[in-house]
Amino acid sequence: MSFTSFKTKIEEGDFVMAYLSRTHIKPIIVKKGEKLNTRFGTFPHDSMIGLPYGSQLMTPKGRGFIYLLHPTPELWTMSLPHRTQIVYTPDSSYIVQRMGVIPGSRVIEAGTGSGSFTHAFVRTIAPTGKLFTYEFHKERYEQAVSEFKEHKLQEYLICTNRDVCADGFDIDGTKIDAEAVFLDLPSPWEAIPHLKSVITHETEARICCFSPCVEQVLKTVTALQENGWTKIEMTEVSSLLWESRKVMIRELDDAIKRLKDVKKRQLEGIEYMKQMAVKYGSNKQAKVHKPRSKNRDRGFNPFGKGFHIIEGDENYKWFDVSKEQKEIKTHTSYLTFAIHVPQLVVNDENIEKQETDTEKADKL
Amino acid sequence: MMGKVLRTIKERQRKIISFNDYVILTLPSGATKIIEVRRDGTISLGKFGNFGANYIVGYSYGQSFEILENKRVQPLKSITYGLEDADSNESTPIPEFSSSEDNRNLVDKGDEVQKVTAEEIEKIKKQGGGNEIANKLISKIIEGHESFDKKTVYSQDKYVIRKQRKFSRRFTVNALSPSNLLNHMRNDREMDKIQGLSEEVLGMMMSHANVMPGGNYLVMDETGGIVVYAMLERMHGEGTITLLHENDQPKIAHLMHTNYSEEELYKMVKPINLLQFMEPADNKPNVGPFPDDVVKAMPDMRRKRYYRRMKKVKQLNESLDMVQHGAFDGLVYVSTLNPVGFVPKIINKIAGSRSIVVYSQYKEILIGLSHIFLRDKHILLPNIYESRVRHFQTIPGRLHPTMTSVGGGGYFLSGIKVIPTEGAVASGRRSKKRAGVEQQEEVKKIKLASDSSA
Repeated sequence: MSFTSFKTKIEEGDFVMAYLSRTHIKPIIVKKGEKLNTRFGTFPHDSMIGLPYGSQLMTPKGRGFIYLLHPTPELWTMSLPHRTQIVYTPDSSYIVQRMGVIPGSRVIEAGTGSGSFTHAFVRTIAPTGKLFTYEFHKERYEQAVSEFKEHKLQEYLICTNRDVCADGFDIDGTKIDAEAVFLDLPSPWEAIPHLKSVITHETEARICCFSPCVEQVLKTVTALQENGWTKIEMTEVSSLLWESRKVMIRELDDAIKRLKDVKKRQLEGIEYMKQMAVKYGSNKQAKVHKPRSKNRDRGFNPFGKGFHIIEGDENYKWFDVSKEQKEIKTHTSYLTFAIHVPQLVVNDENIEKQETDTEKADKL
Repeated sequence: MMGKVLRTIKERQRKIISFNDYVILTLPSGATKIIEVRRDGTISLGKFGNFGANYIVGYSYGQSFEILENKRVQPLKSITYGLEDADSNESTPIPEFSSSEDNRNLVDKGDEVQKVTAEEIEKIKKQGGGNEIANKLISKIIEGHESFDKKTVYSQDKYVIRKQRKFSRRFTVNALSPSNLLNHMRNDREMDKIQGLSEEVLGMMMSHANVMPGGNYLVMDETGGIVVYAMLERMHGEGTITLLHENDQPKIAHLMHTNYSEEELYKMVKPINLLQFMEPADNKPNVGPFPDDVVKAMPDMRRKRYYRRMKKVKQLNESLDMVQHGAFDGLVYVSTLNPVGFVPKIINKIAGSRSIVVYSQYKEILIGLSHIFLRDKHILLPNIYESRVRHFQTIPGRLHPTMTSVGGGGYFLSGIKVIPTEGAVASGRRSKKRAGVEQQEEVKKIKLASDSSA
């Protein structure tokens, strides 16, 4: 389905992300006769069927619009109902890249949490890989399972309601053979000793433990060392989102010209008042300033002082700049990576077998 | 060519070190080297010694080795085995030394403190090819260090580790994965060849571009093929990469060392140059096909050339059709060609609700593009992202960020292609926008008035 393959047109039964705003993306399943109610108005599902993905959809009264987006794990991460703290894209994408997760990979994830990373894993391991995901919280597990069903991910994963720290990862009748393990648990060091029977022993297995505190990392490192994991490294991802903006280019020369202009007009004003004083003597009532109009003349006004200037107004010069968001995520969690390399016994027999394999491949 | 063999997808997952594989060797210093595992070949690591390629075949990728005498190697649990983890101090015996509480008595005398001369070191090195020479050397250097006992325990450890990194005859065999290849390029400080791209930014781009099996992507890659390689890895042999390039041939040298066969690359990677892309009508290939009897009458060499040519023509025609059809599942743009002028011209080739990802080493270049997309409404969420990984020295009790790391990493703009409806303006926005326009008009009027009065 659409988390694991591309669709062009919206059909009944499709999972669509209705984009209202950056902070408001509403996931819906398109059904004939149903309506989507938003603050911009009501959108009948019938009007969505047959449209290409990415279409802008107006309310029947033309009062507002939404975009109908194709589901992706990244959009899902932006929109999903938070049941726990979630793993965001800068972290998850680095973990997937560094652990070398690709289609066909067999991956362990514990716990499932809100299922954010689950979607990203499935997108990458499908169609031939398998994700084994574990959640010890009963309600969260049930919600996750129904979500995976709704999103048609279930053929790529096995979701288990289990406390892996106490009961390990083994599933009866299933050889897990994981090449990659992701542990997002309060105490990963309790789960690490259980991994031996579920990771691959044919080749290198990789692990990433996701913990917010240094104290957790230290215990994790010790557990990893004790259980034969090597090349242990803690890392931290920090990512920034930049918005493009324009700021006015205000030059010294203009500022000086303006000051001169102001000074000149001040002098004119004093002159004017003097004339008035001569004309009307001490009659204070008559010694008024020049009449003020609403849009009074500001003389030389290179920076649009006193007016609301729209960013990018063609009458002014602008710098193209970038700006950080007001609030940024300075810490999500520490990522502790390690590898497990099986110490294979290599003898001539193995190498010979390898040679024949290579020859076979050569002949193909 | 170059010992390339057709491999199944399972084999490509690179589990076991095999003959004809290109691999990345990592040395204790962190330096990396790409080598080919040739049968009966000798691999030279310069001052670290030589070893026979046959001895590493059959082990799992990720395996570390120590070089012994006679080009032989001994598998090791890890490259730091017995070095950084104090508990398993079996491999390198360090002479017992007293240490100091602090460094108050340590006087910096430069080279004078070391009594072992460079000539003596070279002499020891020549005594053999195995790692025991390294151990001998390190012991000698520590013994020769006049004020070693005036250092703190931490400082002594650091000193020993530094010497081990310098002299240990060890290495790890890593697969030539896109990440390892990219880090190798970064390590070698060949940053400009890869446009400063980092592993974390590459990974994030792959996620944002939603690269998966079956997708048809439009790509520009000025990293020598690392981006294409990373995409291929995530596509499982399904889908296509239409590779736009600005030369006669695309520059994808890095793909030559990967396990992809020419046949697979032909099937998935469709090169097309900018001229063909922008002016397809005038640049359609106009050769052959010739009638069968003409082909039969050709001399062998010419016929071979003809077939090769026709294959290319077929591929190019497929790319041109793809471009004309214009419904790509994503744009991945990694090029020094100014995206501000080019990318807005090609977003109509991208299907609705598909991602575009535009990479640049410099944020400034992307800002202009973002401004265009903010105005023209065909790209939703045009944001510029930056991501940086901080690495830590991960030794309990001595946990701290590494003192230095490779700079750069780049930025990318990502957004989602949308299909706007003519004249659609949100009700909430309309008043604001109208207010803005009115205000601007007012400003103009005032300006005109003041200009004419001046």
